[in-house]
Amino acid sequence: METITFNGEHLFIGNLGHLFVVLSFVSALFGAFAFASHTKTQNSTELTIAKSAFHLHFISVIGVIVTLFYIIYNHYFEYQYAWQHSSLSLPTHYMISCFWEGQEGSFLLWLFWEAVIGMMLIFKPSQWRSPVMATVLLSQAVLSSMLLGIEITANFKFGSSPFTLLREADPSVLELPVLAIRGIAKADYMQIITDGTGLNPLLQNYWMVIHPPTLFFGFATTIVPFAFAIAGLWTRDYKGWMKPALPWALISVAVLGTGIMMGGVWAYESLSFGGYWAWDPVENASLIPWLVLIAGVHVMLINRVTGSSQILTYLLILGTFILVLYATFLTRSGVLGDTSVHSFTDLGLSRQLLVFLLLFILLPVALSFKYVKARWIYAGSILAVLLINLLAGKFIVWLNLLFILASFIGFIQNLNAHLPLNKKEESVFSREFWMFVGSLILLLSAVQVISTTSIPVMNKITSAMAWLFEPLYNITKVETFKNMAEGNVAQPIEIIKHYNTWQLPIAVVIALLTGITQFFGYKKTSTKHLVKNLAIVLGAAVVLTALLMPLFDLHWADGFLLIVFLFASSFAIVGNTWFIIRALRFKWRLSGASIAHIGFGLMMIGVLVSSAKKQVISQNTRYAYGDNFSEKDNRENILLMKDQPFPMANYLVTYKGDTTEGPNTYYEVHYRDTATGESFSLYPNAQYNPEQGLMPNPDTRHYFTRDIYTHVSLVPKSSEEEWEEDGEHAMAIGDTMIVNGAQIVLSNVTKAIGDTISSQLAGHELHIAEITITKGDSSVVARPVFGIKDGTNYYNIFSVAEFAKIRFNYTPKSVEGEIQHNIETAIKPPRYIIMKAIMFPYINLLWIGTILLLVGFVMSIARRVKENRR
Amino acid sequence: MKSKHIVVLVLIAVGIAAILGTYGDASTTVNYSEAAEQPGKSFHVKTTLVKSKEINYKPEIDPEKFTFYGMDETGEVRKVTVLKEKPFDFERAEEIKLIGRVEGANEFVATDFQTKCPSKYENEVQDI
Repeated sequence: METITFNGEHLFIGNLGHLFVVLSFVSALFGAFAFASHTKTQNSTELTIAKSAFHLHFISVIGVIVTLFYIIYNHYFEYQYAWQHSSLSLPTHYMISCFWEGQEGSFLLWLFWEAVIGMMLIFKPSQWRSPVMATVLLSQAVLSSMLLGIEITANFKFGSSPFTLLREADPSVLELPVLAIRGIAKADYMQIITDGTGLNPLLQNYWMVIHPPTLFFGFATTIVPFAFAIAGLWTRDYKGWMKPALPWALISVAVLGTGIMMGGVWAYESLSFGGYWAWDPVENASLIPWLVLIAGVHVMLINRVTGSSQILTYLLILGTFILVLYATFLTRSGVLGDTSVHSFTDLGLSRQLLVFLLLFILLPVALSFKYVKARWIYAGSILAVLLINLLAGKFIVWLNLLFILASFIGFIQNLNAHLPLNKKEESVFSREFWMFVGSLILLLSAVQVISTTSIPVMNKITSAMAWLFEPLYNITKVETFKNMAEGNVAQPIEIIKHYNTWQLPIAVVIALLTGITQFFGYKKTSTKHLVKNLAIVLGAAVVLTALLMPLFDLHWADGFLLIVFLFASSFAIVGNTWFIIRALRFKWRLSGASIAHIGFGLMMIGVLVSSAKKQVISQNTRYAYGDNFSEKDNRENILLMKDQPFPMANYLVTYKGDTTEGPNTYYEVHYRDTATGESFSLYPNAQYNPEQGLMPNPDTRHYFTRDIYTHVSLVPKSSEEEWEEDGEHAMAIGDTMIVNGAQIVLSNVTKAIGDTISSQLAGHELHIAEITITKGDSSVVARPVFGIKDGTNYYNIFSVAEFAKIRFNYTPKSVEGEIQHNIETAIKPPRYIIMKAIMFPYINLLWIGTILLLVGFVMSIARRVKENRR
Repeated sequence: MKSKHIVVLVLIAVGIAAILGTYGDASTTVNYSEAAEQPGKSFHVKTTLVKSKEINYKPEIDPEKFTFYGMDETGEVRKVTVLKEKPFDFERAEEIKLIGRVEGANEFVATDFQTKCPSKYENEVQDI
């Protein structure tokens, strides 16, 4: 192979970065072993070594980040990551966003947060430190391995390095024709790589700077409760871990929740999804672990007081982190393909991700065996299954599924054997019973979302098991089995309706439980108090519902379930408010949960009203439906011609024009309320991106009780007004025609000698057409000129009638001895935008509720941290 | 039997119902001829844009309707009417996943679609 020394590259920095990656991987792996060993031996030297390994790991992770930032900051476009995600014109504050635009960068962000969390854990000496750190470092090793970028075989690489050179990632840059054309040697290819392709402009806003780090911090925190649960199994202290893990679980709920909400606000404020939540697979992927973790926190609380529901605690806490990994697998492996508005590329890491997912599923199962020998036997069986897969050269889906199922049953059985069985019948009149029910229903909600989001994964599984589903189809003739065998199952057509069918009743039950459960005491409840409180809350909730219905313009005809939902949410708000007043007597230290529940109730009302009463006010009513189109097809956009007012709901809307600022074009849409006379302008903008086409961002008029949300859906290509040829018309003097809606009359043609007009035109013979343009009440005269110089040089001087947007050119022609007057016209095509406007009522309730929910979580964290200190 | 166990069993049943519900509501990815067997019923169809044939869009007449010719995975080409505004750069699209139905004799009416443009990466290298 020929070796070329390439010029203009900065190889040292990339090698340094790569060294840091390797170092962070090795130190994490070594640290994990050292902490594991210390867990067993309690040898203090081992602890010192393990801690040093972690510190080395921490420094390496920071090293990777600094080197990558150095490359981006200095525009070293020989590195693929910098070339793909940044550009010369990128402002410095967005350079940080480059980190999470690419997959490698987002793994790095995750790695960073987990390292920070490790730093917080390592300073607190306790029996849990070593086993917890061992698990955290194991996950760090897994994450840093995603950045290794070591090719094992041609189609299997281990990780994807952010320090890959562009020419390594795509050798075709060395074969580009432009090199040969410009006579540039391959070694000097950097001469043509002068700029990067830039950060996706859609992501260049402040949400992109704060949303992903928060979300990834949330993902990263889920390792801590997981690690505590693992530590509990490992050291056979099956209950003790729950107490120190609770504040961490609450932190995780709060941070992940904040991240998800930020995504919602971002989607609503600056993306044109038409709302804050679209049940998009990527949104779901972060929602699922959050729901499961909230359920987990509730059962942990049950546990703290009564010592029951332990198996469920394990399942939910372990499940949260596993679902975070599953979400990563879904969004990073390319399996979702085109079911999502988010775009993904497969870096070829799907197998690696799958193996890691399985590792963290099977690890707790192995540790659930009490005896070390049994743990090793189980590990051996994992290896055996792995070996069979390897020998077959593919994933043997049924075998693996069977093994995971058997592992799951074994896990439950093992826990059952270790945990003292609660023989006592739990009273139906106890708080723990209803919290248990509530947690399971939250889990049910998560299961439903997982089920629909996982359709592409299920297709892969069921089509690999066609030997089962094909015969099933042949026997039963159920079409679904055939689709499963062929892997052709697709997302439900009416996806929102599908989710609502399940999630609405679930939300009703959860809201009702939220309102009532706190009035039950742990273990047993005085029925007298319960009935009294229940009667008060129930009565107040009914009154509140009755008051809210006219306020929100909700009627029974809107749907029975909607009114029930409104009642259930009101019940949650009233119940928890009453609980703060009556039971807690305004002791704010204890009120975190109640505040969070009130927030949840408000949030649900906000969701209910803003979606049920959401009104697409830009209903397309101007155009008749064709024969082929049924009424059910949504027609939600209108066309606005510039300066032509158009009635839309109770507004008269006018597109006034556009201005361009940087990459964005802002379209001024003027609204006038026909009833109140109030008027305002919204400036939805759009930018053109070569990769994703036109990307519109909405603009919203906020009122306390409603939002008017507007975005452009389509605009003409050019943002500047250009003349467009209209036609050539042969006219006689006195002829009339219609151009661009104006009446055109050729009134006269006069001849003049240039000298009489200007000395510059000396020797020019001028033919001047007089054209009268009439449109509406106004009328002007345009005078296009045809000039001849020296009898051979012809030229035209056009004349513009600006108000009618017509440009004229005049050329006399001699046809068979007669003079024919040729008028060429050009017009400015009318400017238009196609836009969509939605009225969201009471969306502020959603935001207020969200904030209360998060405040409640923070209050609870403070309370539990304090309790643990005692 | 403890009341807790009853709750668990009931909720497991609902959970299974939810999973079955996913399959009950789910649609199918098909080709044109399969969709034509059940006219009026909506399906997902994966198509590629036939670039040699025209894309027709007249926003001043109807901003939410355009037509193009799409080839399905079996190679059949049909005229597709999409009841949406035409994306700015539709001409560059390659893969177009349609959600819609066959209506009338031969026409496919799409109520929604997703496009995949050639990746940024390939393009850049070609453009340099």
